[in-house]
Amino acid sequence: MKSLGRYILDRVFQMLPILFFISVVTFVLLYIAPGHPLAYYLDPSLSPEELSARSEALGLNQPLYIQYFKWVGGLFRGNLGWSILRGRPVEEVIMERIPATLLLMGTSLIISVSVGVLLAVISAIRPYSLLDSFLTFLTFAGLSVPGFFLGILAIYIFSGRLEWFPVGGMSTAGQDFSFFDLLRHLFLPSSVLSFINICGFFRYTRSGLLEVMDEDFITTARAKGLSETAVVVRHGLRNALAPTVTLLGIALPSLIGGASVIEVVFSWPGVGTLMVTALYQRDFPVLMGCMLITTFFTLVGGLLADIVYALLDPRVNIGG
Amino acid sequence: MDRVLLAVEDLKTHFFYDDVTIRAVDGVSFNLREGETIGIVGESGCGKTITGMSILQLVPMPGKVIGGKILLRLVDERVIDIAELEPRGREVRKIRGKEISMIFQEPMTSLNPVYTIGNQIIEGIRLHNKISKVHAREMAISLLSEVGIPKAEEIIDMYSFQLSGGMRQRAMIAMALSCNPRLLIADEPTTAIDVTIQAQILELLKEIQEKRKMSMILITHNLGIVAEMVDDIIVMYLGRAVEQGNVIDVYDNPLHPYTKALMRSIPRLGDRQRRRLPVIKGSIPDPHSNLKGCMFQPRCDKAIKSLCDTEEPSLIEAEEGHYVRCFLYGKKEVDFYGP
Ligand SMILES: Nc1ncnc2c1ncn2[C@@H]1O[C@H](COP(=O)(O)OP(=O)(O)O)[C@@H](O)[C@H]1O
Ligand SMILES: [Mg+2]
Repeated sequence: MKSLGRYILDRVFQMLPILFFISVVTFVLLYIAPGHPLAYYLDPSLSPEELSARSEALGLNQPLYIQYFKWVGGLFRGNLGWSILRGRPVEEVIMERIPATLLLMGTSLIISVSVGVLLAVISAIRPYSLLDSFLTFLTFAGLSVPGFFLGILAIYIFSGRLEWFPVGGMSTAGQDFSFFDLLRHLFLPSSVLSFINICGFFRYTRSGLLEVMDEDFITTARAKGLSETAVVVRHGLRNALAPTVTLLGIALPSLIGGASVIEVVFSWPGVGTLMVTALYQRDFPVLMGCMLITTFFTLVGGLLADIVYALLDPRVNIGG
Repeated sequence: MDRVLLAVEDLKTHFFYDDVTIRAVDGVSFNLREGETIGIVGESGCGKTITGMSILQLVPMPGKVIGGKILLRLVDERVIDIAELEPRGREVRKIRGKEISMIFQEPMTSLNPVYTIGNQIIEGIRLHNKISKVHAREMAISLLSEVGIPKAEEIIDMYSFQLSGGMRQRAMIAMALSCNPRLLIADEPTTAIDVTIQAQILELLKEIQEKRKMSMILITHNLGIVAEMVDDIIVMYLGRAVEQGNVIDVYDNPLHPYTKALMRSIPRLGDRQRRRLPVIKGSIPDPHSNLKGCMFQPRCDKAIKSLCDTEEPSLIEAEEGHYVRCFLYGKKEVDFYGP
């Protein structure tokens, strides 16, 4: 029998090699990508000798593993590197983007988990009913359409045609910060992202619920005289939620990926947009910092999912 | 104590699929008196569980009680027909767990793994009685002691996966008894339990029934265990009652060829290990094959040519209170042509 604390500690130690592996892979991949890291923003009239001197000064001529260890060594001092392009420390560049990403992802996670689970419960109370079939079809359709298309469609209709919402960004240029202005900017991207995620959560939770509803203990619960709603919520959901939370943990990278696409489409100034821009600009240090942060959050998210699972299912905690 | 508590008349429960209708229960009738026990026996798949579930309108989709009556006499002498109640309606939910309780074959999976035993018992108590949590918990502890669970104050906070099969079934029984039901439906309560514990569980059920003057429907595929437990017995085959009556009459003088075959296959005390139990020849036909005539006829060695394979026998009273569905004991013309 393991205590929850010990379990978490174990998981944290399991995360370290994954982080190491991801960092090496991204580092190598970026290094072997074609194009000189300085090519994008240096004066093309520089002579090869001058270019070499610049590279030398930045440490770009050192062997790959030295460059890598320098970078990792910096990590331990909270130093993610130096963005040559931006002339600023990487951690600073990323940190200022994190609140925007957290705002967008957080809002849509809260909305999509609650709405998705609620709809799944409604479906499971009367499975294969007209409403259930409609929801199943709608969410299937929702998942079949690429996120960027939904985003562009939303911009076309609600910003372009109806002019209800701004086309993108997080605030109106030249205007003082106001909460209402932020909400107006947040509405479309978070709605599109929520819609996509609702479709996913609905389908996970519904299929998990329907599976649980065939279990014997559900018949026992009905035989007590509980209403179907109570049976689904108290006995079905509680059992279906645990595996759904794990799935959520596994799906986290694709959730983050989906959010990045939406960020780009709506020019939302978050980490996703930064990552794509840095990729175009070959701003390696920033790109790697973004990858590392994303991996870190994915792992932490998976860990949180496991902890929630343990809290939901006594068999994990007590050991069956 | 011989007033009828539950009268089931020509119960029919079918499963409706797009291409087939499975007639899981197709004409079962019986009277159950207060304080008495009726046994339902038959091979696996003959419709015993669905009969029990029909009485509580618990048949899973796409099954439905489509015919017959399930008359229950309430404490206030009103008689209601459960067959007419909406399966999800309020009326039948007031009966479930309160007037009639049911326990199931698999104690392993019949308890919810994420709630403690106590939690699940208290849930039932508080659903039907307006009492405090503390009071309900005391009741749950005394119920657990009543069903022979030692250290009930500790067990109440355990999860089902921490208990043995026998203990789980005892907990299920405690849960079923929590609102003092007048009828307990026990669906193969010992089938999934270690043999050494089976007798204890049956003994417990018998004891509780006598103490509480409760009626019981005992479902089993094991004819060997019902003799001492029940007053009346119903032998089912493919959704139909093929023979029924007082248990002594049926045991001493089984009439239907199927019942006779079942009796021959009971292991007896003192049997040599090596004696091979006779097995009923053939296997149960597909429930949705379009069998004509008597359902047992393909496996019956007494089948009468061009009668048993064309017409379906009806249940007739061969001896007083002893019914059989077989042409060997005559043919009641009135059933075929109506009164
Ligand atoms: N969910 C279901 N869907 C379709 N058919 C079912 C279902 N449950 C039971 N049946 C049918 O009803 C018949 C009787 O089942 P059951 O009452 O469980 O038998 P048993 O006598 O073993 O308890 C079976 O032959 C099976 O084909
Ligand atoms: Mg059964």
